[in-house]
Amino acid sequence: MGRSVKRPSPGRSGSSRMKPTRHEGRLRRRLIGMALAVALVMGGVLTRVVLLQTVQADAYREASIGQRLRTETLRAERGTLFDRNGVELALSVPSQTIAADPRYVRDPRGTAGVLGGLLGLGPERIADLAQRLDSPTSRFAYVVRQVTPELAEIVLALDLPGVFSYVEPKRVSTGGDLARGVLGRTDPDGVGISGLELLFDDELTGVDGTVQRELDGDGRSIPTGRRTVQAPEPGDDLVLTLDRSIQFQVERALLDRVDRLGARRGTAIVMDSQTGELLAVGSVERSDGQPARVTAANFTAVAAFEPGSVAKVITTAAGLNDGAVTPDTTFEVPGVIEVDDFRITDAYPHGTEPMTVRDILVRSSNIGTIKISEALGSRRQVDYLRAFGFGEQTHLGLPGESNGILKSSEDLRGTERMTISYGYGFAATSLQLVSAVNVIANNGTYVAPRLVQSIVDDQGHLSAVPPSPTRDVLRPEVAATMTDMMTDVVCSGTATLAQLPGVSVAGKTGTGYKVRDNGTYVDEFGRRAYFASFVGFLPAQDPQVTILVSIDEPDPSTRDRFGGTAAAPVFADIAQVVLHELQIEPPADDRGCVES
Amino acid sequence: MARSASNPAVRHRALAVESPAPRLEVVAGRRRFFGVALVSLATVIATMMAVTVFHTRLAERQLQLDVLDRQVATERERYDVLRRERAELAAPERLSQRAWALGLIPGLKTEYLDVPAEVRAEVAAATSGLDRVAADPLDSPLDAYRQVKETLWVGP
Repeated sequence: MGRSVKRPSPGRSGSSRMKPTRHEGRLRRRLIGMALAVALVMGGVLTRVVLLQTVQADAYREASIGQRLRTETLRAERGTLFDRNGVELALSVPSQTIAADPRYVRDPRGTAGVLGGLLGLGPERIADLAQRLDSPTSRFAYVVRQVTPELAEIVLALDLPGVFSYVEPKRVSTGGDLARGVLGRTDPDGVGISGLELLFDDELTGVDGTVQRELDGDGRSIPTGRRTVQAPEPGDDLVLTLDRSIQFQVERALLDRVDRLGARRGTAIVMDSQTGELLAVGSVERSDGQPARVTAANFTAVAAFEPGSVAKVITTAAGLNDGAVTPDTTFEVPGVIEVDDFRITDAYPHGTEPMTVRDILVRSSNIGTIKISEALGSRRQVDYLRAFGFGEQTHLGLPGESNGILKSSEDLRGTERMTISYGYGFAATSLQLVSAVNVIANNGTYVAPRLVQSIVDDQGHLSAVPPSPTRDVLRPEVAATMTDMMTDVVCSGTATLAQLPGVSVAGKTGTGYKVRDNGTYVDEFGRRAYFASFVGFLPAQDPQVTILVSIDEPDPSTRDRFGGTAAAPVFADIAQVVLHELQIEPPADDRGCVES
Repeated sequence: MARSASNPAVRHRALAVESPAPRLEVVAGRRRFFGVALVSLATVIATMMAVTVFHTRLAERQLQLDVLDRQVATERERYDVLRRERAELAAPERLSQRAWALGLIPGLKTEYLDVPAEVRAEVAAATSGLDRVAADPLDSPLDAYRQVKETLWVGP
């Protein structure tokens, strides 16, 4: 069993020396051929393997990854805009976007017609949609973006071939039109295009993340497959200085007044006197025959106008601060003067009469203010206007914010040297004007307006924004004197309609003529257009808030075209609201305009 | 017998016939081989089963994680929708319309009253026993939002 017997092989014994038979030769050749063929195939396979593993390895690896792995973008959540009390003003919420893959749409026209009818699209948009769906080379076409989940569900229930939906964030303002000019808006892709949404777009926009999944042959996720997630970083949230309640009531008061006066536009700003925080910034506009509505543009920042008599506050304060005049300095003030063939008159007719500086401010005398400016000098006048913040953007840097117009003293021509003292010959935005008057409320210190209080980072940490820059403009005693004189303006001057019961108010009216299309202050029919404003602060004894109201082009045929009649009543309405909302208690000895 | 024993060939044949079969030990070796093979097979099968179970558990966990991820995303979306609804419900415009519909109108004037010190003291005494929870202001929407954001935050 375990022993093998070696038997002689007839084929081999002595055959090496024998000539192979014909059959053997053919077999041998076949074997060699087969061996060569196998070697060739194996060589080919080997070469291919070497190529696959070396030269072409990267390309195939990438192709393999492309087949197996799907990378999806995780959109970072855009930051929320909160008001000062932590209430959402604008935030992103999930919505449904309906789209189609034209390759799978069988009947482009029919599909477009059905979708158009359901979504309320017009004929042009339906035709456009049909055209986009009728593009076999395209893989994607929007049908409608950012609709409600309910509507998307209805559309998908139709089961139209090639039509699908996906979740997309949508930016919404929770208060409708509330503060829309300030907040601004985003485009459908969530990019800020106006207002604070644009100004703080970088901060609000987060960093998109990605998720990479390994898929099987049918495109389904492999549960144990590779899965790499780069989490998105949400954008920062901004806590604004705006107060939603005050903002709403400010806009309401403006809408009501603009409608009632048939005015073109109205703006209002409520500012914290000490910090420069803007509590409300309202712009409303009225189209012909239509009720006024809140504007998408922030006219308080982008529109500059000649401020008129409000500028007398600056001239008077500058004269007092430089020691050029005192409140009791008296000037002989005529009712009319002529400069370079140009008549300058006071707002009301009067003969030449002595007026103290206080009288000039309280009675809003143009010519009296020119006298103060002459005592000050035009160079100093312009220096002070710059110190009060005119001629340059505020610290806000809002999109489209105007610098206003303020020439250097050397560039002032003719009557401009005089008219600049009472608010003509330079232009200012509402933001510049309220900040300038606030210098007096803030004890002589200019504080730049600001709109952002703090920022919430991507980890939920709250960090306060540095306070607004400040600069000293007036001596505190001059600010106190000015406050006293401006209180007289409200109690016995041109702004009696701004009075509040039990609270002292300091302020100044302004009634400016608007430059018409012909470059003058009257149109071809001899009509004027007015810009009525009032800027004041309260309580005058301990200023907490500064408020500006301006009414653009009130009906010129009525008495309500002046700052004291068009704007001051709105100021009083807003002031009541602010006192209530901020729970401001006037000093115990404050009796308003009633003598104590 | 004696004759047979004297012949070595016969003796050898006789020995061969009479000798027992101890070489059957080979059978024991085969049994060990089968035993080892059986154990190895069992081990392999058990290992494969374990690996299968492990992978199944892994897949289950991954599926659970996926479900949880989806739930978190869904709840996050729902949270945002609810934030929006809350903000809209508390919007001044809506409240104003509701108040108007209920017959309320804005106050026509504000009057400031001097509250005597003894009245203030009485009120303070009456309210000093307030429940802390009731007295403390509730978290603002911002505070609640910050907590959620902090919880959901995943570092880069």
